[in-house]
Amino acid sequence: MDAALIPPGVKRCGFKKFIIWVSFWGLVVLWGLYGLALCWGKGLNQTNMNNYYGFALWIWADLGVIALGAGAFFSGFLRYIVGIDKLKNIINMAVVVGWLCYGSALLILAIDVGQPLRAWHIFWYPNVHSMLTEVAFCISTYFLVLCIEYLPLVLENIQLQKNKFIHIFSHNLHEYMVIFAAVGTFLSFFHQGSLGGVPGVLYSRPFTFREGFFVWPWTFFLFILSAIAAGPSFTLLCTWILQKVTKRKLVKYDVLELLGKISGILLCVYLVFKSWDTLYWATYILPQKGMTITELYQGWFGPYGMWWLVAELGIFGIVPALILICPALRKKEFWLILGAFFNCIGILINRFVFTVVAWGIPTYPFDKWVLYSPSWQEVATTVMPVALGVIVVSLSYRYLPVFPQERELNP
Amino acid sequence: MLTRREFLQFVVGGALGAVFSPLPWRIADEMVLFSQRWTYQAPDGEESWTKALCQLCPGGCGLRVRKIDNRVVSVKGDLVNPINQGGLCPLGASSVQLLYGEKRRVRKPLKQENGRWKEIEWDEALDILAQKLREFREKRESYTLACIDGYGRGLMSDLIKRFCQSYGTPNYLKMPSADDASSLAMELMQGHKGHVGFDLENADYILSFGSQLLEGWSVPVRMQRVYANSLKTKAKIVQIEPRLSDTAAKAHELLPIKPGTEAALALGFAHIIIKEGIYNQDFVSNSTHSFDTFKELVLKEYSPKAVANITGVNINDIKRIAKEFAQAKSPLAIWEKGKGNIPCGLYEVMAIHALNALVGNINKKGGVICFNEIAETWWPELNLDTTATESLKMDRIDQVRSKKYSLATSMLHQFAFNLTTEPKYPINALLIFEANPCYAASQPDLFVKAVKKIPFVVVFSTFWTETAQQANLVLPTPFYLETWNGITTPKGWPYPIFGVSKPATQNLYDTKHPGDIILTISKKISDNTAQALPWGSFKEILKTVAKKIYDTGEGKLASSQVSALPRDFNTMWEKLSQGVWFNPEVKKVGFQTKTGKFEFLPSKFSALYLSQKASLPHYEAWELEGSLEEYPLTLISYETLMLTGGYIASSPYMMKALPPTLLKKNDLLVEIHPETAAKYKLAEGDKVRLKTPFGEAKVRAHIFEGIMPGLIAMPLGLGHSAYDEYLAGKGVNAHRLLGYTEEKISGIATWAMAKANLVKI
Amino acid sequence: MEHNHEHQGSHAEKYVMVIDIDKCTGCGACAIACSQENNIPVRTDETDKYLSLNWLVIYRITNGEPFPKTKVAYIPRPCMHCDHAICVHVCPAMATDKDAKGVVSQIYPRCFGCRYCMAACPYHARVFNWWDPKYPEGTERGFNPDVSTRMRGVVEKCNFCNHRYQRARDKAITEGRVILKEGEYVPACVEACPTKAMYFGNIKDPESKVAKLIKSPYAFRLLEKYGTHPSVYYLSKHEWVKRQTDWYLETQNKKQSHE
Ligand SMILES: Nc1nc2c(c(=O)[nH]1)N[C@H]1C(S)=C(S)[C@@H](COP(=O)(O)OP(=O)(O)OC[C@H]3O[C@@H](n4cnc5c(=O)[nH]c(N)nc54)[C@H](O)[C@@H]3O)O[C@H]1N2
Ligand SMILES: Nc1nc2c(c(=O)[nH]1)N[C@H]1C(S)=C(S)[C@@H](COP(=O)(O)OP(=O)(O)OC[C@H]3O[C@@H](n4cnc5c(=O)[nH]c(N)nc54)[C@H](O)[C@@H]3O)O[C@H]1N2
Ligand code: SF4
Ligand code: SF4
Ligand code: SF4
Ligand code: SF4
Ligand code: SF4
Ligand SMILES: [Mo]
Repeated sequence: MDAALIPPGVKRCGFKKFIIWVSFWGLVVLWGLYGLALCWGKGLNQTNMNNYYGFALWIWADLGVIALGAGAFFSGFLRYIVGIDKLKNIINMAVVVGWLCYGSALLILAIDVGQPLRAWHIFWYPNVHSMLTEVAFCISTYFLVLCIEYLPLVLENIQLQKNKFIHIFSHNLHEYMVIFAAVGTFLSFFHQGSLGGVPGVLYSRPFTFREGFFVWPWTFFLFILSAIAAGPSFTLLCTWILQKVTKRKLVKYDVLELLGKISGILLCVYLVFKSWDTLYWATYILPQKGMTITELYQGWFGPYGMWWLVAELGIFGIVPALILICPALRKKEFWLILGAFFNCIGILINRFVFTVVAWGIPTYPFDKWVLYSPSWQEVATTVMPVALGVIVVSLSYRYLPVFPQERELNP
Repeated sequence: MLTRREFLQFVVGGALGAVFSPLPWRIADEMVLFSQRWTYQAPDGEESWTKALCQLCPGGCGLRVRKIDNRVVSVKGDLVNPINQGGLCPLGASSVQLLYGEKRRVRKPLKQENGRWKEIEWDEALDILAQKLREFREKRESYTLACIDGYGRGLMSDLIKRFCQSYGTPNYLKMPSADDASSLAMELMQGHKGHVGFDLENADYILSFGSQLLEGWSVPVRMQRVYANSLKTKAKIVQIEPRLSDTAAKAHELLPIKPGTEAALALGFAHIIIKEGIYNQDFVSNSTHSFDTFKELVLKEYSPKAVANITGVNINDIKRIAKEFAQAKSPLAIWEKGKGNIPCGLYEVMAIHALNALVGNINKKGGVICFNEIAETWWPELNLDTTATESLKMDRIDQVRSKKYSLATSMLHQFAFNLTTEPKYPINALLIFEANPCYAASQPDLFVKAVKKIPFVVVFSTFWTETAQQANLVLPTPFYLETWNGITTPKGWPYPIFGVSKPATQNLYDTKHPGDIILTISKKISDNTAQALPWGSFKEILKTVAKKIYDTGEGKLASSQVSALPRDFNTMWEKLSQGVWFNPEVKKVGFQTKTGKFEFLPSKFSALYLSQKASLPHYEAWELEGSLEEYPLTLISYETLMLTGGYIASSPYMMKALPPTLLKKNDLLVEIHPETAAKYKLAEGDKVRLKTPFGEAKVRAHIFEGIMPGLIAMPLGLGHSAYDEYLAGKGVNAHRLLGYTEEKISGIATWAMAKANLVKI
Repeated sequence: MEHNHEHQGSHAEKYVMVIDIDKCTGCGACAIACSQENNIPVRTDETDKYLSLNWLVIYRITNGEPFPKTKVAYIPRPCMHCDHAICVHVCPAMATDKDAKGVVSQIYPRCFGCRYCMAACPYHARVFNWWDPKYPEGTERGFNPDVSTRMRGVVEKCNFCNHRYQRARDKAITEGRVILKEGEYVPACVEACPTKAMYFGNIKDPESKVAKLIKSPYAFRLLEKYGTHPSVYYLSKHEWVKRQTDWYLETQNKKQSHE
């Protein structure tokens, strides 16, 4: 039925099956939209946030997806600027995933702020000292860049290409991709960093506070490093899942392996710095604030116990790093995927700790720990972008030539 | 074909075009307006200030009222006023919210017909009232009218009493309060019927037998200041109480005590003081009577060991505190539990006050101060016609003055009980003045049942209370900021005060001052009532009292500043309506007993033919209802500053300030010691059914180390069904579970404790 | 790390509050007076204190001794009006600022409710309007016209009753003065306090009560180690009170008690 739209030379599932698949995710999106309508209509009382938990699941989701979306700018950077040509085979996928991640982040932010219609005040009355201002500017401009990067791919659609203007326009866009990649890289470095700066500057919150370099706390740099370590893993993971779902080979294994290798190396670098940072924090920053590290955790196994630290740095840090830098393990699909998966979980934990665990800790010696669990409205609106993502990836995969190697791999 | 140049032009041109077109800016502008949702800002207007006297509790604090045009927008403490000296309490600070809280106010006279409310005009309302009362009087059934006075004391109270007398009903009742026992003890031991004050500011050792000094006892604002003052003067406050109230936690020392055994402890202190010979020899030998009899009893029965057994207080503490107390310069022992509303027994007051006599601090700086008030004694002679005289001879429904209750003055609990069982005669009409017995009487359900037996119930009320809802006729009275009002000496104040408060704002609703209502209907009921109450308005009464005070020439005025009494009365009245009159040099009233001395064994008791022991201050355990097997625990009531217990209910802002350990959503939390909780397998927040012989309720457990094991503590002031949604349905009315326990000798009923049990749900 | 530039204020005025914890009985009059003065909304259920909207909260601490030796202290906590106001530093929309006289302001119509300031403020002085504001029916008639109500979705907090400063200053200017006299500008909470546990004034005036009080050896501030430099000082002679107002390490602890 939609055969005319499908890129030539590739096979796609039947239209009916596709519709059922998309409809399923569509329902999830509807659920999310209902949550969104409630939040906008009735206000943030629909969430389980409170005056102690002003930042919660949504902020975690924002930081999480943006970190995972780092595959886009970083692949662009490696491909266009460093010149690792092999990455051209996956760059489209990286762009789609990145666009989705940043789009999701913006959408969630729009629900998260108390007065969404005033969100633009951040541009109107910007406070240059605020990390959030930096984040807002960089994310929104970078999202524009991602749109521009996504556009040529959309225009590659066989029917659109028939239009002469579009054909020429998209051709021209391609020529400028280097510039956009460069701009994107610059912006991305900044906002990944300033997202790290958001909790990092809080000298009033010893759990997240870090000293730093020039105007930035160390978290600024750690967030960049961890994002570029995890981003490629996530691109890899998405591609792998897509292959499993479509039961087709879309890129050559060596491309995935390359992503894994990049991730692995960067993760190792990150972990070195992160360990140093943790040590410095525990032994220098905290005593300055009159605290010990144990005061910031609820024992070992409490809801906010030390196990978070072990999970973040050990199980989902060192383990995937070892897997991914070990060429022998990378060669095996199981290990490669496990490594990439653990890597992504690790970064999500890191962002969770900085944006959710942080507020549960009493600021006064006499105060109590506060627990938070999201309301269904928060969960629904957080899951919604994932469902939207599945739909967008499905559409892109179905109608756009996302994977240059697909034809070759599926003769 | 699009060239690279054209492409660039297209993109850049498009972007610039968009930016310089008015469209995005216009949209942004609209958005900013739209997004700054409309929120209300009250209109500004002309600012003015006026003064008023707070009537929300018997404190009578001076206020400066801020107005914008005709709207009252805030109250602040009047720095010149000697009572509060600029301070406020949470209730007083809520004045504006209470004034304007529309749902709580009665806005127009209401008549209930077949369960439906009808708004009526004042003329009709007063006609109905006057006609009914005239009818009963003409039928020589004056005694079938009962009045419940919610004021307890002061000009309004005296006015109601006078009305009852001239109308001819003996059934004048007050809301029960700790004052009943206090007044009785004062009358018995000192022969004093006037005002009793406590010079707490100058005492250097305050021994408080369960008075929740910081939770609203006496005048809340004053007591906060007394505490702050004690830090400077190094006065010691010792709190005797079974739980860690705020007072207990702030006091220098807390002696936890088994509830209801305070009299024993007081006598235990007396034992040590007498045995060690550290009492005030001079005072005791010259100014007291029957000391030896008292001494004998105390030495025999209240050894530290015996007292420790009864009270649970450590022997060494008994000895030490007794000595500290007796050796202080100005020691002062005080009583009345909770805010001074929860009664203790007559013997308990006598036992505690005996300590004051032992140290001889009566009518001395830092002690108990007794004097008479002009505001109470100025009333002209009453002439009663035969209708009144005859009718007044009838027995009272509550059995006051009967042989059994010869000492009692008002027993609301017996009133309700007798009405619901076999009254000697029916009550045809009940007038309730600014009180809420359907909520605040002991066993309120019983009281409601009693009220339902009365065919004509009239409630004078500012607020839409539980009691108003039971009425046939509700007569709306003004909020204190809307009317002329007066204050007499606040509870416990050591010198007389009289103040006049003029309306800060016009009546918001169609209300009338209860004094004015009484004066109006008196003229319609009979010549006798008209003659007894000749004044045209309540304001006129205030002016009369002011004139009497002016005529004495004593005291000072505190208005814009403290000054002597002015030359002419008009100036005095002007100033008085902007402040208060007070007289720290008041003449103190000595002992008016038969012997002219302080009587440990009151000679007035001789008329009762009591045993010697029963005539002396002694300890008698309260006979609590229920068996120990069925009710192994004890429920005690407590009060807190954020909750009021009666007619004037906590404001929404006060409800907002309640701690989460007291109320969680609509569930009340009761305090339970960890040991007791463990016995009942209770964890924090668990739901339990709390049972007493009087009732049961679902509550939650708050595990609290600051309470003695075996006790459960519950606040007074929650569990309303009336007022507004900020109050109704929240928590449990403690009176429903506490019921009452009567002291045989005095007929005084306390709701300080009850036997109880817990069942985990 | 260098914190952002300390806001020193003008030369003539810097307002601070001093609260004597030992005197404070926790009566709550200050909190109610604040609510009334600032048109603070009130919901029918306010028992979840994490959602409750209060500008002044009274914390209750104990000395940790077993009953009946337990002692309680109350810590009334308005906004600290920090000199290193982290909330001002982080607000992306400049909806809050430290002004020349030391007050940390809050512009409700500009705030878009990102709540970064709330996450930043360690004193929990900032509260969010989770609901549309609601008041007991009819009480709008008693609103203070000097204070606007706030809309849903924005953050609000104590502003040292800034409108009272403006009124006082307007009056002073008509009388030809620029600097206020002691007692001309007093917040509602301070005014209400029955124990006179709260003091307020201009520390740039060396004769002011507060200027003298903050030099007391018993003066301290909450969470000083966080580096926020609060403008609200506390007084207490009790070591156990002071110990709970900041974090101490055992090693620092020893030094502390030797002092
Ligand atoms: N100052 C002031 N006066 C008021 C009001 C007010 O707000 N302030 N409001 C009015 C209202 S609304 C009320 S509720 C009433 C409250 O009435 P108040 O005037 O405050 O008096 P009470 O609380 O009844 O009792 C005060 C103390 O006087 C002593 N006392 C009372 N009666 C006797 C007595 O007959 N003999 C002896 N020896 N001692 C006695 C008791 O020890 C008691 O502790 O007052 C009215 N007058
Ligand atoms: N037992 C008894 N009952 C009465 C009366 C009486 O005299 N005795 N009088 C009746 C009359 S006329 C009236 S006006 C009402 C009085 O209203 P109630 O609320 O029943 O009690 P009162 O003791 O008369 O005064 C109000 C109480 O609130 C306390 N209070 C003052 N400030 C605060 C505060 O900020 N917070 C809290 N929680 N409490 C505060 C005072 O200590 C006082 O005990 O009672 C009626 N019921
Ligand atoms: S103590 Fe009583 S009179 Fe004084 S402000 Fe409070 S409620 Fe009003
Ligand atoms: S207390 Fe909190 S809200 Fe107030 S100035 Fe300091 S950081 Fe800002
Ligand atoms: S919530 Fe409002 S005041 Fe707070 S940081 Fe965000 S915009 Fe600024
Ligand atoms: S200074 Fe004003 S705004 Fe701040 S807590 Fe006090 S009354 Fe409230
Ligand atoms: S009003 Fe004064 S005494 Fe009462 S809680 Fe506030 S600071 Fe403490
Ligand atoms: Mo009253």
